[in-house]
Amino acid sequence: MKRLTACNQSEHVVSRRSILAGTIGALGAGVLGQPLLSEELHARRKRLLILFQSGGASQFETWDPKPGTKTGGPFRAISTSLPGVHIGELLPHTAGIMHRLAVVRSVNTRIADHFLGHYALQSGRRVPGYPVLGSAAARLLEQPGDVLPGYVSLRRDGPKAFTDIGDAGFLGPKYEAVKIINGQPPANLVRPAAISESTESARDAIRRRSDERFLSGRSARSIQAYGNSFDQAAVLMKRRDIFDLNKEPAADRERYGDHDFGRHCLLARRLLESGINCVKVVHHDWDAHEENFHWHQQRCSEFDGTFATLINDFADRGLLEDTLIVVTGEMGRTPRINNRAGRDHWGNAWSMAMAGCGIEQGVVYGKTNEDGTSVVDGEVDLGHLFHTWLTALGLDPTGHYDIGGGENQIGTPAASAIKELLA
Amino acid sequence: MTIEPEKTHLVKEFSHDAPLLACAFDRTGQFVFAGGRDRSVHCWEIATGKKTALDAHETWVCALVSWKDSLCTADYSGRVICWSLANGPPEIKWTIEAHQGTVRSVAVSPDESLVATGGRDGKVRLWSADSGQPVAELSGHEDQVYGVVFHPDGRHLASADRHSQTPTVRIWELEGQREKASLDASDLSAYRRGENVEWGGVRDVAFSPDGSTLACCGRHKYAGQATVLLFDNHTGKQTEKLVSTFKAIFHRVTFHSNGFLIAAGGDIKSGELWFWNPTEQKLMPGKPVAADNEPLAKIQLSGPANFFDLHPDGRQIAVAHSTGKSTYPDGGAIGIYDLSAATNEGSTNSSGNCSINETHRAVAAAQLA
Repeated sequence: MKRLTACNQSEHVVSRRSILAGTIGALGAGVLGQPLLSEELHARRKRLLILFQSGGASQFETWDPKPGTKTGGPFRAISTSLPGVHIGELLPHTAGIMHRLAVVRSVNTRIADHFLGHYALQSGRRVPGYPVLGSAAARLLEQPGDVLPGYVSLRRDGPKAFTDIGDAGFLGPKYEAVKIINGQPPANLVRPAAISESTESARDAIRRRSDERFLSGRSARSIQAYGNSFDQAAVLMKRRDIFDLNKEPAADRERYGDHDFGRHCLLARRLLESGINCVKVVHHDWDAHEENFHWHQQRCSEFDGTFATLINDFADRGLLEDTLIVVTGEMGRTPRINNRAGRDHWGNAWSMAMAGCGIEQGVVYGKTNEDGTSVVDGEVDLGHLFHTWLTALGLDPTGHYDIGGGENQIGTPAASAIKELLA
Repeated sequence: MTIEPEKTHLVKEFSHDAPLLACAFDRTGQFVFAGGRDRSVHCWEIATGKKTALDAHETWVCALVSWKDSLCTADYSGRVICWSLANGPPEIKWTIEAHQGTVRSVAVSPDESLVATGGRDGKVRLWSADSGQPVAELSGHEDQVYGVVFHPDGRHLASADRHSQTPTVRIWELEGQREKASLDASDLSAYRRGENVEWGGVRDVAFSPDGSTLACCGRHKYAGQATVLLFDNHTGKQTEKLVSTFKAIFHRVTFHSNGFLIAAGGDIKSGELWFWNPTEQKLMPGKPVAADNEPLAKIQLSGPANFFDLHPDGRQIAVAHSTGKSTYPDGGAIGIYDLSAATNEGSTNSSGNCSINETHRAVAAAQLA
């Protein structure tokens, strides 16, 4: 079935032309002046939301419980809205929305390292230099006239270094994530009082003319990215309200949760509704080498309520149909429990979940053995996931990036999408 | 027999195929019960090593306390089971769903009429020891309650939480069920914002025999040493910080009736018992007080310790720990340690069925006398 995309509709073409015909200043007075772009243009666009469980959540305490086994830990399995399917008891709210999710229990990336895992899980490859999912989707979902950043990453301050590993790769700075720390908008979005609007415009005009002169006879890529960052900055200065959670109803702030993850998920909704194509929310500190069970009680408690609220909210607002939501970390955690009651790094048999745009609902794909030490059915590697996510977004992972005259296949040629996960 | 902590030595070890998390002697001292990383409560007859299992929990058993002819066992799901040890094999007296989530600690009042529990939900709850009926709920902690202990006067209770940045011990007046004092245990905080590593918080709490001193334990700072804090129970002021040289967490602290302090904990591969003579106690003439953190003794254990219990006669302790040379344990064990040079392996006149008969009671009474 052919899917409708807003960019094929005439009224949006007109709107886009008006955007393209204007200057950034005109945008600020027009489309950019609206608090949120909830009209059909954005309602019908495909979007991506990544909820990244940084550090690596335990599959035993979340999607693939093994109660009563040597490896299973102390928590029980609970039934879900999907008949016959059980998940960990630390996710009671998530259990109520399982019919909306697709869960993969058979991920085998063989990667037990934070740095490589962060990059590889998001890029679908082990070889460095490729764009991560958010950057790739930002590029591939981009439409003429888009002025806001294509990819925004939300996290709190002070995470481990691996959190920001991997971004746009060879796609260049334009598709790097704009990083929002602690929900604060990027710095310097307000024009200094000492610089008048006319001075700023004049200065920007000089920069543009200099860029154009410099571009003649040279490779355009780097200078265009440089210019683009100025354009994006100008737009964000006009639209800094999109980072203002106080403009969201108090009831929504409460139900999303009074913690970093809850606030960032609500901000993600606001950004996606504002026209940002891809948002990544980092939920930190799943790296439970010590007291894993205490730790997962804390982390799952935050994740569970917010995640279920988000899924139901996106469904109610009509966002879920066009938004692919991916829940993953960079790896899972060991079946064996160490002397500190911790679980260590593990890439051989773990789980992740997805929902929304292009994803079959109510699917559990793959299987691990009785004690969760290996995959026994439907083994899934990085590339399969990357192909699946892009395909779900209506994109072709077998297509190519044309960068500087060279071609690179978007998804690794060694993998393909998992049909059972696609709607 | 003279208690000499520095001569503490292992006299028996009972092995299990899973790490053990908690243990308790029965009142006669003939048996030791333990819970661990499986669903059973395990009972060893100390004299013979005969082992039996009590099966009723659906998840790991992580806290135990015994009194008179009863045993309370608590698990990760929030369930507490009270077993009667009076006649023959242990039987369930009552079962309660005590907390939303894990029960972290359980204690019995000096008059043995109340059971206190602390849990994941940050609540302290009091229950009738006879019936399991709820008596009171004490609210105020902002994190999981890892330690509860009754004051020797029976009219107060202390509870301690695992808040990583501002761990707190709260003293409650049981009559009126109101908070009497809040003690700042932030010397046990171990929180790193960069990684949000929450290794801090209080893991256990204890009163001295005369009730004048409160001890709580945990770890000093991120990846730091196992530590005990002492507070003056009347002023609420911290009086001592006993920092061990053991880079680990003290999971358990208690006072011996002679006045010295015992703490135990574990790291990734090793476990240690530490003994201090607190400055305020001065109950052991001729022994050094805890100035400069100098312990009376420290003992290497067979594996990382999760809990210990004092024998009713005060001459032995049972330590619940894991075993194996790897960072991943092969199993667990209960180590029985004598707190003196002489060996005391306990009476052998036992039926071996985990029940307390009149003979046991008489033996216990004689020992306590």
